[in-house]
Amino acid sequence: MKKVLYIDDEADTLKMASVFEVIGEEGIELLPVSRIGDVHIVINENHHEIGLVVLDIIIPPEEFYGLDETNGGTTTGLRLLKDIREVLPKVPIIIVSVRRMNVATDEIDRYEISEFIEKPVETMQLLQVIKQHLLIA
Amino acid sequence: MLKELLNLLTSDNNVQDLPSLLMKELVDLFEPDLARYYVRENNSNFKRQELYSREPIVDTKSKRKFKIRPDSRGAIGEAVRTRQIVRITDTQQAQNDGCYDPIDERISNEIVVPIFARHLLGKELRVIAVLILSKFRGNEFTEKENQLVDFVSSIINAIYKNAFEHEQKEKRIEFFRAVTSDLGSTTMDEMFQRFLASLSKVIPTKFVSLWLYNNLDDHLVIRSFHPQRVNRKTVTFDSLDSKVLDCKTSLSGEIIRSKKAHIFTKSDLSDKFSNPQFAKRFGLEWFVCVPIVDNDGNPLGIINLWPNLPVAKSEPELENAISAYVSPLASGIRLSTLLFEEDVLFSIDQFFDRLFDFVDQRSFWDKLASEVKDQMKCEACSIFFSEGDGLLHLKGSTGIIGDPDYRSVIYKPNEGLTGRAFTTMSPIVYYSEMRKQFAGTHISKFRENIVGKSKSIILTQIFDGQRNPIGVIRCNNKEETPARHVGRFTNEDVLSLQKISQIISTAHSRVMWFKKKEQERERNLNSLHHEILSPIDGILSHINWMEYHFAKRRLPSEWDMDRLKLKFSDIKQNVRLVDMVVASMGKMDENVPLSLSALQLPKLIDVCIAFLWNEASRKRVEIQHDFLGVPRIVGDELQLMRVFYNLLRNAVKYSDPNEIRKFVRIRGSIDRQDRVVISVSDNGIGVLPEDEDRIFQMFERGTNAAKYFPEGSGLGLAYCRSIMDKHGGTLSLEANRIRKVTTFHLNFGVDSLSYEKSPIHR
Repeated sequence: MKKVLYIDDEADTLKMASVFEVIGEEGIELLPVSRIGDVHIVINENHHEIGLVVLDIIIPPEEFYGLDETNGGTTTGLRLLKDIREVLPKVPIIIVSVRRMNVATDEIDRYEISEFIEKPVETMQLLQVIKQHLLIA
Repeated sequence: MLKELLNLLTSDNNVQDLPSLLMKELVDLFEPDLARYYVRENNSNFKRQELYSREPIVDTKSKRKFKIRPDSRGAIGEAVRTRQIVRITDTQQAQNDGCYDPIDERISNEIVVPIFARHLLGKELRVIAVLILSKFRGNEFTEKENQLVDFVSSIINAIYKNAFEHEQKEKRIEFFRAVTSDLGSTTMDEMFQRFLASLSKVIPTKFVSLWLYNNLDDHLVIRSFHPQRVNRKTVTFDSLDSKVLDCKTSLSGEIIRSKKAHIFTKSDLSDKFSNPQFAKRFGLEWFVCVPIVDNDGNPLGIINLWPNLPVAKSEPELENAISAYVSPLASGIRLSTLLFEEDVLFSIDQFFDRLFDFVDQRSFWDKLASEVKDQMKCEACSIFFSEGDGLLHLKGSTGIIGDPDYRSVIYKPNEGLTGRAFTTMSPIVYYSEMRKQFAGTHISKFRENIVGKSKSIILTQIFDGQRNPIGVIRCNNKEETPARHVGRFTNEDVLSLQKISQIISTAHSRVMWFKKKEQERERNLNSLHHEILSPIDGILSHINWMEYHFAKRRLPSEWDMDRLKLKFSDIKQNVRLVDMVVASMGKMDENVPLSLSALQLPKLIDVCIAFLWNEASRKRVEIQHDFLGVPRIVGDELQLMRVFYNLLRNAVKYSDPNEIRKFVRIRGSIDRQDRVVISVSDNGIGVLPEDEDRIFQMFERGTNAAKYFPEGSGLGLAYCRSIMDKHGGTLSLEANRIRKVTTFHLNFGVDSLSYEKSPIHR
């Protein structure tokens, strides 16, 4: 089975460890990325193995993106999406964010976002969505 | 005859009809040689309304004297002051005493009957009219007639009281009906006219003006006024000294902020008063300023009312009455949202909102280009904007020479006529005979065909708020008119294009400002939402994790228990945040009094450090503290805890991930003025110089903080500062950029210095 690229600035925290542990026990291999600079490195290394991307919207833009284009870091995920789509045009993408309003409808269409999950996230719900999309992929 | 007078008392007569009816009865009753009825005007003089004379008056001088009498002098003056009947039995003697001003030499005795009523604005009785009965020499008032006057006077006053109060009541009802009626789809101007019509019946006014509030730039702009003539002088918009008022520096601006009607008397007309020349010229002395507020309590404008009443400075009761009258007026003006939509100018907010929606649509810019084309009477118009990529993109175009293919029309600044116009402040004018001269340098080959078709072209810059160029407007070929030189732009055209560009520039910068504010709002909301949800998300993930394990009948290990404990600190943090948000909505706890006690600061700080220990050790941040010799202070334990917790949490949170040795230092000391100072320093990501003041404002976050930690409410420091203010202390920032150390100093005021010196201890 292909791997899941999980981009969230809290991917290295204990909070996410609980989620990842459950997902991992279900036999799904995760590639957690917490810093925006590592996204391209991880994608380059695992280009053909990535079957799904789970993406948070509020991520520190650090030095990689400007505060203007990410509205103070609150839409960094959308900016990143544009770059991800260039290298992974067909991979399904799941957005996890606090407010659905963050993502305009035309952006969902433009970048072919497969699913939108609102925080707080139920681990089992996330697991189900991931499984569903991985199987299709 | 008396009976007929009594009939008047019970009949429904208008106040206007009363003088003639009364005069008729009184002349029949007393048979005077001369009888006059004077009505008191608002400017306090008496004006003659009715005159009866047995013999014709020939003296022209007297005729004039008859017409207007002052209210402060002579017998009338006394009647006004005392509200009693004044009898002058010897005019010669009275004239010598200076209390009688003769209007006819033949008059030997006179009776002045004051008529008084309660004006609906004031509580006291005011003399509103006087009746003067005069008899010539040899025809003196008899004793019987003198007695009768007293009786007649009371009847007259009773008649007036009835009629006057009835009329006032009617007016009042009509007024309230007018201001509270459903306005439906009437426009602002119609409403203002309607309001004025009913108002003038209740409060006599000299001048009323309507000002609209623009909340984007915090200014008031005059919209309309009434009447066109004041004190026989014509009022125009030019008569006003200022037609736009800055709300920060004007009296009317104060009303916008307070949203309460206020009376400004002569003593209030300070240097803040914006129309001194206007008021002087038209004899306006005091005014009432009424805010217009929409259903949500947002100010929409003001109405300035200059009453035509005696100067209110000495009559506080009258003032009170007017303000009581004026406030229902303010709230009574119910402006439906429908009204705004029809009246675009009135709702500048919505106008820009709409523009904001359109600003990214090509149709909007095409429409604007065609608007400019019509205004300039030219064949084609194109509008270009720079999109931050160093190129000029065609946004909107119209006319035969305009480019239909938007994607291909891209100019480089300083290249070709358009690019050239972008980089030059002054407009560029091109005529076809200059083609050779311009070719190559100013006309790019790429655009040869457009220029080739043009007999003349004018171009001018569009700029932003800082006058930096952001775009270009280009007009090609003046439309050919028989009278003018064929198809060429003139200097006038250049000037009008510059004006148009000014308008577009202003509108654009406003839209951008609006857009920026909107983005900020969205950003704050997002990060706040994230801040609150994040810990809940964490808690949920652990519960899910436990569910998963319990379902497989596994028991949690010690490490798992530790994880759970961590979650509890998450919950605490969440509660604190909700606390802060609620407090910020309630204006930062301003009204919550401090619950003072003697505090040992080191203990409070230790508790905060304990809360943060986990996060600090996870991020490998070392927390050092040193509190030698810090005395106890008097303060609110809970609120100061919040301050310390916020500052320490920020220091831990904003640690620099690239720093090898991360630290947070807390130092307590006593400065030279014996004040307790607590300093929290860290070598984290730091604060940029331009952010130093901003970060203490509500919902504002530092650039660095936003870059590395998008989630954050921007409330923490504002909240800390407000708590320190309440304690009489200060919170300041010191950034040492060479050593990369950021320090927040908490300086406690002298009074709260030590427990031993404090009032609580005594």
